[in-house]
Amino acid sequence: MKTLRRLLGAAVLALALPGRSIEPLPEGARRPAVADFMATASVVSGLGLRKTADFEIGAVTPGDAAGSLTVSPDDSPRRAPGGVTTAASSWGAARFAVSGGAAADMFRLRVSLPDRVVLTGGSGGEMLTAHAFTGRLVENDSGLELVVGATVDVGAGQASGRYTGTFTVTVNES
Amino acid sequence: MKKALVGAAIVAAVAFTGAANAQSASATFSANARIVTPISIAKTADMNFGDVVPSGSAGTVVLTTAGSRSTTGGVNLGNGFGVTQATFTVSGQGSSTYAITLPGSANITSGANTMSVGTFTSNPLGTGTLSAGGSDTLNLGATLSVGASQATGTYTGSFSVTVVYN
Amino acid sequence: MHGTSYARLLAGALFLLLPGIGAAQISVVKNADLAFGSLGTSASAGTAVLNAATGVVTVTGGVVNLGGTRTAASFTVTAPNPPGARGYTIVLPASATLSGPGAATMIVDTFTSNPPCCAGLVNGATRTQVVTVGATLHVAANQAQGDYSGTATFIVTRP
Repeated sequence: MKTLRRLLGAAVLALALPGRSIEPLPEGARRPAVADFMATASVVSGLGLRKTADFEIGAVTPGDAAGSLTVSPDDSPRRAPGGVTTAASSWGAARFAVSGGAAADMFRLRVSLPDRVVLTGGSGGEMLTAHAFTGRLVENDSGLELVVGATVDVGAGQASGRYTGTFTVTVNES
Repeated sequence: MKKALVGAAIVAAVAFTGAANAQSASATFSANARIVTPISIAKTADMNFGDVVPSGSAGTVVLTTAGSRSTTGGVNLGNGFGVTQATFTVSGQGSSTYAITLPGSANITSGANTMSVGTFTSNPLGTGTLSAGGSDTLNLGATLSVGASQATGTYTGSFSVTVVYN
Repeated sequence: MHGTSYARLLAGALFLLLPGIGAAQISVVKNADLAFGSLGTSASAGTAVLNAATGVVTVTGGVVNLGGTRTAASFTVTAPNPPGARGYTIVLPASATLSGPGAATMIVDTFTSNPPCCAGLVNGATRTQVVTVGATLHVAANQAQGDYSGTATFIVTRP
């Protein structure tokens, strides 16, 4: 009889014990953890332009008649009216990262583009003319960008080869 | 006949006692332990104020814990490329609370030029609580002080944040 | 006369018999369970060793000693009456499994005792001896956090 009572007592105790401890963390767990980090800021004075892509008109096959090739700053396909045929190649508008102006200032920026630029090359000393430069300011997640397109005139039977030239663009706050 | 019976009884008694002497006793006991995950913190993004444009009078750029910028005084905001608050993942014992210690003011530098970054804020602020699974995200913002004719350049500096169980 | 001698002899035999039942048993009661306290985990496995004599926990590998309540298991062994042979043998468990949250477990082994296993000697005056028990807890890398518990049996025997 005595033994049975003892056993019952032990069983009741077991049920009453909580399944999960609710005691606070011990003192030894209060060890701090540290993380290092960098802070960065770029100070820019006034407006700035940083070229991120050259203007590349791409490859063309000259024809018997003169023609032109246009790269627009809106990512549309090249247009080749007249006697030239586009050949498969990489091509693209010139791109510049604009720094130093607040986003709202984009609408007050004046972009100055060249009138005409001469490209030389071909078999040696041959010339092409780039004109009708057009610019477009684009605001996206990466920032403010100036995209510049142009039209290149190709003569009939233009000598084959690579033609290059340089040009300058300017932005001002109006 | 009686004699024989008594003798037998004695022998039997001695034998019984002898067998009872080869014995064992046992007690059941429990063993227990508590496993605690120490608190740890890992950076997931550095703080970046982006481009700032001084304009002839001093000012500040305030970067919130949500990564948005505003200015006071004469400084203008430039490109927002890469602007972000500093972010961290805090890990440890599920559902535990922890105390956050933010850095004090310190300089970021570009060559010999300096700017001060201070008034750090955080979300959560002061005390955070780990999820039941034992993690939390900590975001830090701060205020950048820009001089009236602050020299152009990319300024950087190192800071640290500390967490500890409450 | 014959009758008297037989009666005396019988009484003597009975006297010898009564103490043999029950009171001739060695016995043991538990005073305290084995508690390893709070241990911190890491990406490396390790152990926590609880010293049977001192109740101190030392850690190896990636385990961190965080404090909390640490006790060696404790038992009081009581000798049979009358105290003839006071020596006895300690029998420790080979291992025990602690169960924690979900299906998480930890193994406890290398049980040790103070006095050292496996010889015990009950004090003649008190007819008792206190035996404390320690062991080694094996903690896996990133062991699941929570409370773990298991049971084992402490045995004493005498020839």
